[in-house]
Amino acid sequence: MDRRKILFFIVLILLPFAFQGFSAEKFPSKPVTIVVPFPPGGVSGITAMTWGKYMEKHLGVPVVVDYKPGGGTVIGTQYVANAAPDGYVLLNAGDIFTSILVGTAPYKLEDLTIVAQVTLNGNVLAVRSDAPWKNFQEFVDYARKNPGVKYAHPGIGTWVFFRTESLNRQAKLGMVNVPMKGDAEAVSALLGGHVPVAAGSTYVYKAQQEAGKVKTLLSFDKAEGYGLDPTIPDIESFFKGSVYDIVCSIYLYAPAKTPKERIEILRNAIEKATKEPGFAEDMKKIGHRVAYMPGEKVMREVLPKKIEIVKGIMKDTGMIK
Amino acid sequence: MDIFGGLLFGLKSVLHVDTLFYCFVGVTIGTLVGVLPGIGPIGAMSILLPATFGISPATAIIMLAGIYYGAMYGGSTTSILVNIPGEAASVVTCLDGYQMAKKGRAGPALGISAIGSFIGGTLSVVALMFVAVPLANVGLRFGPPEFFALMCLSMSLISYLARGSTFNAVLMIFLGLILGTVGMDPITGFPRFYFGSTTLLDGIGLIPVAMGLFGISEILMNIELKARSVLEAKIRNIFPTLEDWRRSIGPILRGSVLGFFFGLLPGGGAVIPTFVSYSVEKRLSKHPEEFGKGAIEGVAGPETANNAGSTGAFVPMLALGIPPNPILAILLGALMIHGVQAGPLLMQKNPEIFWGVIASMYVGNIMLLILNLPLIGLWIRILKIPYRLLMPLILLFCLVGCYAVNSNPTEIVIMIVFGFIGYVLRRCGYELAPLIIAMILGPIMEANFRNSLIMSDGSFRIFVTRPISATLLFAAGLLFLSSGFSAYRKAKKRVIELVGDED
Repeated sequence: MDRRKILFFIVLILLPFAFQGFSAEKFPSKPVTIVVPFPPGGVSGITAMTWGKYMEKHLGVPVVVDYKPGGGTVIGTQYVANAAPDGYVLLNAGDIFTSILVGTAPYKLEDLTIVAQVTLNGNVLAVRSDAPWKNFQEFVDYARKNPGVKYAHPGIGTWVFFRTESLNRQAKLGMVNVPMKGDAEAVSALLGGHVPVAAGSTYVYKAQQEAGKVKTLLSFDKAEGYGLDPTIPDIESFFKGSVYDIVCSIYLYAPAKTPKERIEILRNAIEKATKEPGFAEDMKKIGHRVAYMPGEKVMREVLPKKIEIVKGIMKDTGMIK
Repeated sequence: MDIFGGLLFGLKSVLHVDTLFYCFVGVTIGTLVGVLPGIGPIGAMSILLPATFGISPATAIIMLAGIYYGAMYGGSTTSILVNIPGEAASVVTCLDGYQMAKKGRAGPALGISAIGSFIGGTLSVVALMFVAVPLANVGLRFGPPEFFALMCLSMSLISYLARGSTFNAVLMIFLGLILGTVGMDPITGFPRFYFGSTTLLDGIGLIPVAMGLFGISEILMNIELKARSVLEAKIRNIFPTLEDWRRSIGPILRGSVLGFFFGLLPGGGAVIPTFVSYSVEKRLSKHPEEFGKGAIEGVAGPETANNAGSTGAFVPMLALGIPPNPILAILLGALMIHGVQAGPLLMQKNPEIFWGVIASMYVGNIMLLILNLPLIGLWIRILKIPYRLLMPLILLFCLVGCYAVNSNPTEIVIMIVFGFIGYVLRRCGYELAPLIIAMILGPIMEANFRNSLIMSDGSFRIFVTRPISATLLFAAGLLFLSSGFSAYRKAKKRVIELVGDED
């Protein structure tokens, strides 16, 4: 054995100790928990379970999912905001600032940090297949000439509502919102002819479109990412930058005071997970597409714009005074 | 594929040892979570969802569906034995079921609810099989104005839930409506009456309120009475008598139809048809005075309706891919994980799931009947436990069950507070069923009323220009007038009697 090889082995053996020197103890050394602020059985729980499954390989410890439903995500988010900032308790959620703006959340935006944006949830604007509009352009022309077209959506405070309302205002469509309880009621109202338009989760309307019951006029972001017909326009391509789409991001959060090195370890794990071949396929099954973005970039470039738009909508609808 | 071909195809896939096994596991777990107060089918199904990842999608759905309709069999048990509604769908069963148990007739009550559940479940599967697609489209015709009208009709029936004064019942309805406004405003999202409590943001939970008002208040009442056991009379018979049968067959058949219809509406489920069935039976009965004192019709109707309702809910789910309630949404989630797209094409693309589920329901209902009838003998022995031992056990089960729903300790506090509220109200002669039903209906009524007006740009004409909503509102008006008239006649008679006494 030559000297270089011996040296290499010594370095290899010492390497773990070197890292221990950095952070006092090896992270992670016990199971990591991802909190889901919704009841079990829904898409959010499945999302967290899938992320966990792929992260486990890169973290080397089990990842468990814990459900803390209630208060429209406030109870689960508060739990993570108050958790020990050691990187072992994380949160899987969309944008959490809405409850903070309304004032129902007992925590501040600064109490949590975004580890990364992992996936995007697809949303569409759909009409019945016998609707008079052949495409989105015709609908836009009609809506602008006849203000007051009613659209159903899964509920006030849901991201689909804010996203559609943001489009409605920026594109001056003059639509009026009819809040239903969940995607199922919204799609029922559309199919039953009670409203002419509905906004909701891509996967719900995709199934109806394949059966010839509805027509998808618009996919809020890139249609092909969700397995939709690629000729369906999206906001960016249709309005050519004049309308800003507030995407439906799904993030991994950690308590704000979590040490930087640990956040980095977690971020690497989720980034590597998103690049695994099965990950994108599993996300597609539940209507998500992979869109990894580091937390700092989100907080610097995307979040302020989202907050500004949503705040305007909330003021107009009476959610905040 | 024609219907019988489909059914045979479904039976062929169900009558496999492993599919039968999963179906059996599902219905058994369903019965158990139904019996345990608090934890219901939603909790059990979501906990077991990950366990189904390894099996075929059809088998997974068969097992999960079994939990749902199985829970409807078990749900009546605690309502009848100890006055604690195991699920929201068995609140109404407390009214007469518990009275029957006190009189030593828990056996017939449990028996008729198992048999009613079986008949209701089986009849609805037949209906599901033959008319799922056309009926699902009828369900879609119910938009916000129709729902509002339906809620008005339901509201006018609530006063039938009361045994005594109509005035007191109306007071309780208003209290229930007020309690129903707590939480997020459904139209603007503004938080109402939540006093900074994140738990109250979702509204006051139905399960803690039901368990508090019925279960905890019952314990408090019994402390005062120094009751030795639940029984006030000897246990007479275990199975329903011929007379019980004769009186129950009408309620069972009507309950099946009502349950199935309410179940298939968007937002429908097994809760609302139970009290509609109860009210209808009381109205049709030749001896309405027996209701609330142990009338078997008051158990047979609602218990059939909740089973038929849970099966009816599969209509929009299987025919259109639209889950009408959160429980069916879990089934949709299970299909999604398996990569099966639930939608109107499910029947063509995945006939093994569509027909498999239908066939499994026939088999599952038979399993449930066989499972539940022998259990009756065991359950009624609980009644012989001295109350000083049974009471702490009931309290423990209430506390654990209430916590198990959302793992939220605040809900335990809500349950106990409502236990005391229920005790005070009962001592003052008020009845609690109208309160809790109004609390369920109020938020649905409010959201649909306001949405209707958004749809019509503020015009009230929308309620009368749409045929379904106009008809329902007309019926509600008639019912309201007729109950008002009968209350007036009763009052008049009483006055005449009083005056006569003075003479």
